Formats: sequence, structure tokens, C-alpha cells
Amino acid sequence: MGNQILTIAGLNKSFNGVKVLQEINLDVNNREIISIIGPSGSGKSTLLRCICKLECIDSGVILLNGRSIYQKDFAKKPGTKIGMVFQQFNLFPHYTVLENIARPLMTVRRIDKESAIETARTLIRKVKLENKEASFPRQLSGGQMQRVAIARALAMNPDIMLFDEPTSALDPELSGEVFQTIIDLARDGMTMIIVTHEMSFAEEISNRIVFMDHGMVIEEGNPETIFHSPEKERTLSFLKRIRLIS
Amino acid sequence: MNFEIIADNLWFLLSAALLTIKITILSFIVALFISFIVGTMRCEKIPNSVEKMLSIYVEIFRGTPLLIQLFFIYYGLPSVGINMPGFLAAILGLALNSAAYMSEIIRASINAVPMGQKEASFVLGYNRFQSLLHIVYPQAIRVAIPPLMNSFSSLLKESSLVSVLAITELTRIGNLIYTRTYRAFEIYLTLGIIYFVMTYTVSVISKKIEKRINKAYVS
Ligand SMILES: Nc1ncnc2c1ncn2[C@@H]1O[C@H](COP(=O)(O)OP(=O)(O)OP(=O)(O)O)[C@@H](O)[C@H]1O
Ligand SMILES: [Mg+2]
Repeated sequence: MGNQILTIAGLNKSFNGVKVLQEINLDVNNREIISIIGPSGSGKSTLLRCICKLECIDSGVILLNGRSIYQKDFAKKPGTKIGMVFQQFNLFPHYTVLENIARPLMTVRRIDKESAIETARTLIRKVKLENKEASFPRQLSGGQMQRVAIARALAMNPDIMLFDEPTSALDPELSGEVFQTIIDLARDGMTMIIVTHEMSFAEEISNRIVFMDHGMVIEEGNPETIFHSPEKERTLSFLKRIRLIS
Repeated sequence: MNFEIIADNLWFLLSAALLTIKITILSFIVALFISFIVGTMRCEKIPNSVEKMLSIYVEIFRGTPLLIQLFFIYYGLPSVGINMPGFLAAILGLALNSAAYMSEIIRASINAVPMGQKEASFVLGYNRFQSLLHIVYPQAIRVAIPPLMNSFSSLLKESSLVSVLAITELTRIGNLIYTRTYRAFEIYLTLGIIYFVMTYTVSVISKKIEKRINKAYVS
């Protein structure tokens, strides 16, 4: 396969004996954009949280560029980095926009202040918030906060970006600007996994749709197939429930 | 009424008040140090036995009178070979007692920082220590400052108890002047006023600090 960035095989995860993820297999190729859809509680967030090591797994393997993410020196090697964007943004309230992006570079990467600020400014320009670099998160709109969160994750130069319902906490009119930012990233060739309830966005941007239910991958395929002629009954009934197919 | 006694002993009283302030500040600093360690540890995943020990420490020092704690440290510990001067016993007793309360403030303040903050820092590559230092503490301290100022006021008043360890702080000096003059009314009224002026000053300062914090958070 050669260009596979992320490999998940036989992943199992339970909380207090309750199985939340069962035998998950998922391969993500370089520059691929995958959207994960599925009903509430199906394990979509948990899957992303396992990939970025916020949760430990019961069994299975997760490889990034062929290397286990549980290897001791995982984070230190170049080309083994994962960016995560949360539904609730999780910006640092005591840092300005500029500091939110520059400080992690200084603290984690030990990059000197000038270069960290330079990198941060480049990313602030990328998410179109030039006039907000001195603002604190509380002074921004939700859409602006989420774009800062995206810039902050990008600053670490990740190989893959994970998005967990990046627009669910936003008013519909603010979702658009975040979608646009993600579309720009796609154009730059960023590999992404996006958990979302926005089906039209998922259909537009994704190379592949993964449908999950009860902790299992039920079906995956290109957007056209999944959204308009899914094979599995469960996929169909989920899509019916959210009124995409009547 | 004879306030001449007060005027005669004013210098004496004021230097005693100064010692009270010194004792308060010193034991507060020690208490801050202990409470940050204890409060932080109790928020982190630590072995059960350690958690048990810390919780026993907190419960014992909150559940017994400070006076008994001071007597125990100064008069009791020498029986097991631990001797210390009265001043040190006073600081230690006050600090251990306040830290039991203050560690709960620190713990609650750390827990008030949303889980997502730690998670975001972890995903960016912060280790536990960096996350605490750069992300959690700065936010927790804002929450902790008002109740900690309150602890400082309590400590100032409770320092009166170390007079039993023959330390010539404000209460002790008041008692000495009383045994020489028997002017209880004038002396204890004056002591009360001096204590009140000190705690009132602290509360004015803490209101100012609170206002500044709120301003920074709301604007
Ligand atoms: N920390 C936890 N402790 C116990 N159970 C949990 C925990 N986190 C998630 N779960 C459970 O795991 C299951 C999957 O949750 P998850 O958040 O991954 O679902 P989801 O697909 O993201 O749902 P949603 O669309 O509502 O965000 C749910 O049943 C949830 O209750
Ligand atoms: Mg979720």
C-alpha cells in the first residue's frame, strides 16, 4: 500500500466492562479525507480519542506511518504526530490567540520565541484571523475559536488531523467558516478523519464515509454509495432517521 | 477607664502586632507550599495508600482543635524525641492546620478547570508536569485566590492561639500587660481593634484583587 498513514486493526475498547469499540479495522491513506457518521453513542468520539491516546485501548494495534503510537519514543520522532480538534474548542483561556498557537511550540518543541511567533502568525493568516491575534478566546465568536483551535493543532505540523464534531457547538451561520477552513486544509492535502453530523458537508468533502453503530464499523465506502445506495439495512435506517433518504 | 496604660505600652503592642503579622505570613507561605503539593496530588492518579494517608492528614487536622495540635507538637512530640523551639512549633502547627483546609481549596480549584483543558494540552504533547504548570495552575489560581485570602484572614486570627507557646505575639503581650495592670477592658478592647484593623485590611486588599480577576475574565 505504501501511502498508508494510519492503520487500525482489531481495536477493542470497553468502559467498565461495557464494550464501546469492537474489532475496529480502518486504514487511512495519505491525503485521504474520511468522515465517520453514526448514531449517538456509537463510539465515534471514543475511536478518535483512542487514536490520539486520550483513551487507552484493550487490544488491537494503531500504527501511524507504520509505527505503533504506543512506542515509547512515539511523539519524539518526526512524522508521528496527530492533531485533534474538539467540539468544545478547548482553547486556553489565559492565552491570547497568538499565545494559544505559539506557546505549545515553545513548551513542547522548545522552539525559540521568535520562530514560534512567526509560525503562529503564518497559521493565523491561514485561518484568516489576522486582526484577532491579541484577543483572548472569550472575545471571539465560536467559529473564530474553532479556527484558532485548528491553527493550534496545525502548528505542531501533524501528519493527520482528527475532528470531533467541529461545528456541533456552533450556530449554523458560523459552521460555514469552519467548514471553509477544513476545505482549505483538504486542498493543501492534509489527511483528515472527521466525525460529523453534517451529512451534506461529509458528502462534499470526503473520499470515504465510515458508518458506525454500537461500536462497530457497519459499512464504509465512497460518499455516493453510502448516502444514496447503502448496502446495509442499519445504514439505511440511520440515514432515514436523519431524513436524508425518505 | 484608663487608656494611658495603652499609650504607655503602645510601642510594645505594635511590635507584638508586627510579630503576629510575621508569624501569619510565614506560616501562610509554608501552608501554601504544603497545600499545593497535597491538593495537586489528590487530583492526580496516585497510589491508594498515598491518597489514604493524605486524606487522613486532612481529616485529622480539620477534625481536632488547633490548640490541641499546638500542645501536641510543642509538649507532646519531645516524648518521642522531636524537640523544637516554640516559634518553630507555632509556625509548623499553624501551617499544618491551615494547609489541611487550603489543600481542599487547591483541590477544588484544580477540579474546576475543565477536563478539556488537560486533554487539549496532552494532545499537543504537554507532559503532566508541563500541563499542570502552564495550563492548569494559571486557571486554578484565579479560582483559588478569593478563598485563599479568606484562609489568610483566619490564620491571622488563629495565630492568637500560639500565645500558649510563650511566643510574644499580640495576644501574649496583651495578657502580660493585663497581669501587670489588671485593666482588662482597655487592654482586650485594644487587642480586638488591632486584630480587626489587620483583618479588615486583608479583606479590602482581597476585594481589590477579586475585582481585578473578574475584570480580566469578563471583559
Ligand atoms: N469516559 C467514559 N466512561 C464510561 N463510558 C463512556 C465514557 N466515554 C464514553 N462512554 C460510553 O461509550 C459509548 C460511546 O461513546 P462515544 O462518545 O464514543 O459516542 P459518539 O458516537 O461519539 O456519540 P455522540 O454522537 O453522541 O458524540 C457511549 O455509550 C458512552 O456512554
Ligand atoms: Mg461524540
